[in-house]
Amino acid sequence: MKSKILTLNDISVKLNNKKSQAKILDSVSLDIYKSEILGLIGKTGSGKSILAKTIVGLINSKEFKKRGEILFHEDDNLKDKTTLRGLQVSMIFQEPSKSLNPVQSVGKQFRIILKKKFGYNKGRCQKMIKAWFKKVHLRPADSFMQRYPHQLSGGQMQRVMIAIAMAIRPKLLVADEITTALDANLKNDIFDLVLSLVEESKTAVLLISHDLHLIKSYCDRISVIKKGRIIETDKTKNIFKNPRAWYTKKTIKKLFNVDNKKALPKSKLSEPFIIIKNISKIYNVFGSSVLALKKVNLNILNKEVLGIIGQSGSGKSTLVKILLQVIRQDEGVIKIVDGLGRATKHEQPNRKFGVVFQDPLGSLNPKMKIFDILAEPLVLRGITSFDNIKQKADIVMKQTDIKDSFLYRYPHQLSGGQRQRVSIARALITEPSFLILDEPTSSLDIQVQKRILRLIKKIKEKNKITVVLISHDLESMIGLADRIAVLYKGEIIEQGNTNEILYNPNTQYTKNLVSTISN
Amino acid sequence: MKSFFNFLYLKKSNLIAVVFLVLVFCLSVLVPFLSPYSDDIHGAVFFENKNHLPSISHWFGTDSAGRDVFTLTVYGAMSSFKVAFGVVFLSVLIGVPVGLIAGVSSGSKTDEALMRITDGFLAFPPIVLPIIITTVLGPSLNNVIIGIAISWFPWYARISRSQAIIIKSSDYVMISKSLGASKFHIIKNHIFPNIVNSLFIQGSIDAGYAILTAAGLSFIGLGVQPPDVEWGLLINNARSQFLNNWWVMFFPGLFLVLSVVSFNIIGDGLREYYNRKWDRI
Repeated sequence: MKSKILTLNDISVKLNNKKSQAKILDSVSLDIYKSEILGLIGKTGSGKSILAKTIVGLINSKEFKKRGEILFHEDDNLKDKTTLRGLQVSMIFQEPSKSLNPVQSVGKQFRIILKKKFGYNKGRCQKMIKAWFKKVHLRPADSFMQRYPHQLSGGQMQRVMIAIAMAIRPKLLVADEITTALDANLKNDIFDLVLSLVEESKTAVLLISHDLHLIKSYCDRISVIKKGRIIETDKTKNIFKNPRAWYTKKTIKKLFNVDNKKALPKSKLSEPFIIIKNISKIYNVFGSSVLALKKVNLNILNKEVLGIIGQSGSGKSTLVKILLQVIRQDEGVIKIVDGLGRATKHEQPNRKFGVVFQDPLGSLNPKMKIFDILAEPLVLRGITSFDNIKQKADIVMKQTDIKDSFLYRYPHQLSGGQRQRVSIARALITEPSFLILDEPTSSLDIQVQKRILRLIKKIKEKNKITVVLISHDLESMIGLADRIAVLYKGEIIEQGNTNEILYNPNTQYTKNLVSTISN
Repeated sequence: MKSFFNFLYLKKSNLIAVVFLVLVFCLSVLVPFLSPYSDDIHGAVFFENKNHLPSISHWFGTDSAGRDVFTLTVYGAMSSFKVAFGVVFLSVLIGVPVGLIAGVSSGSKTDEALMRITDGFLAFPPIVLPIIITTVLGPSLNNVIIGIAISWFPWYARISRSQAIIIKSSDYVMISKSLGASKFHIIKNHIFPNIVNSLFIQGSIDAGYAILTAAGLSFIGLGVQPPDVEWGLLINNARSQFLNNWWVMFFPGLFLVLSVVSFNIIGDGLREYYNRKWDRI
């Protein structure tokens, strides 16, 4: 039997304000053993992240009341959780963009932590950072050290966070949805890397994820949390083979019951709606050129759903921005074909295009009420009468299942799924002929993801519009995309109808992607 | 209104600072009507009452001209508040549009030109530019406000520009742009509402320093001129008799310090309040 590294004894966490004293964690008792990987699964709002923050000592004592005991077995003098953070326990968060300081280069942020932890001088820190950046595939390391968070893609930022968290050689690593923003290939790469480091340093990992495939492949044991209570903890094998709690059974059944083959649509070829010809884009980052898109050629057919798949940093977001014409391409041309078959150059933002981005919170202005957010596209088209706006808002709200009471709330007063519905409603309110969905589900948990995908499917069938669905997750495209294009390092390496891509992929990269879902 | 009460509830010091400033402001408005010595405000002299120690009839004593120091100190708050709000208002009025235009066109020649001009103003030490401007325009309360505001607006331009650059790259601005929104629409609907909190924080802190700077200018004879009343001027007039009649200088000085500290507390309180609100989001 392995020795325990951390024990949670009857931990309860309550909200600490006058209006509400709701229990977020209810008598949680849990042991984490040395060098084991413990998975924590549960719905959104079940208390997963609060539990993680409680272990690391990041919950605000003014907002939450905590009861119970956290024992760190490695060193009895370190029972106080605040001294554990950064010394014995490190944490990687779900949203790397919020974990990094936007006004400091990532190299500097890394150096500050190394200096505090080990007291190294600047030169030694730089060497260590370079080595770590290489380990997490951030090459060239020198260039990445100088970059600011906004110059990195979501995946690259998360790799920086992983490097920082592992560099302090923690005894326990708390990983809260760390691979949400990464594509399937990279997910496994990153986890293989984390695993090798974990084995080397005998670090225990508390892995929180809604990706049950990942949990199944990597965890030794699994705890299931529901409404703040741990309802089941067992070995991974036992949980998946013979779950005891009804809730666990339901969650697992849902995931493995999807019959992918049945869900495949037949591809219907039609006329092109958008023609993308030889598009290239180069960014200049600190004097060095980064090629984001390289001679991309792609036709988006009329009324089809085109899935574009690619890993983080492959140029997906650049392609979206160029399609929207909020940035200009360096080379190449985009043409829009009208109903009569005439092609016109697309050089200005087009009000008949709708877009939904990955981060539902970031894509809604925090100072605007939902009504104003929905009204903005109409106001920009010159529709300013309240009645007209309300009438159109009512239609899209019904379609996207948004309650009337949400209209006068601010975005932060809605959940992630509700916010994404608002984003979709805003994109639909102008009755667009073309809809771009840029990772619309990747920051949501599995249940909400499914609801949003169902909604997109409904829109596709009802509105009969052309849709581009961009994702790093091939699985989310099954049942939705008519055709798929694979974007790799700024190039379209493969495109074809969904069946062809799934059953007869040509490139090794696509084969790897397909194999991760068929597993 | 609810937010305002939440802000007061957050910390006792916020409540005390706000109550102090509101009280002083109300008193300064009412003192010409309520004080038995309201003539003193207009420069009346009563040499028979000169240099009286604080007492029941003269709470803060009297000065060398026999004027009631309480009446003068409280009335002096009016000029100081005028300076505080005037400077902040004018700095915001000049600085924010400059910063927002530079921010939304960051990297362009417009941005470069606007920021180099503001940098030019920043090249002067903070007190030197107001001294030059008030010397050129002539000493008066309005010129003090103009002088300080011209020296301080670059800070507001810098805050607005940096925030505008961050907000400009957010997804909601990108979506707005993709719908064909103009730069003015983006500034009005997306950027400005999101920087108001930062401006409030900076404005509250600067209001305190504006009072201090104006008092400094009055102290060296470049600010408010008699018969107007202002704390810096009162302190300057009492300078020569501080050792014998300490109260004439002490009370205006005390009110000056307390007001500056109060504005600073409010600024810090607002920062904490908005950060907490943001954390909850």
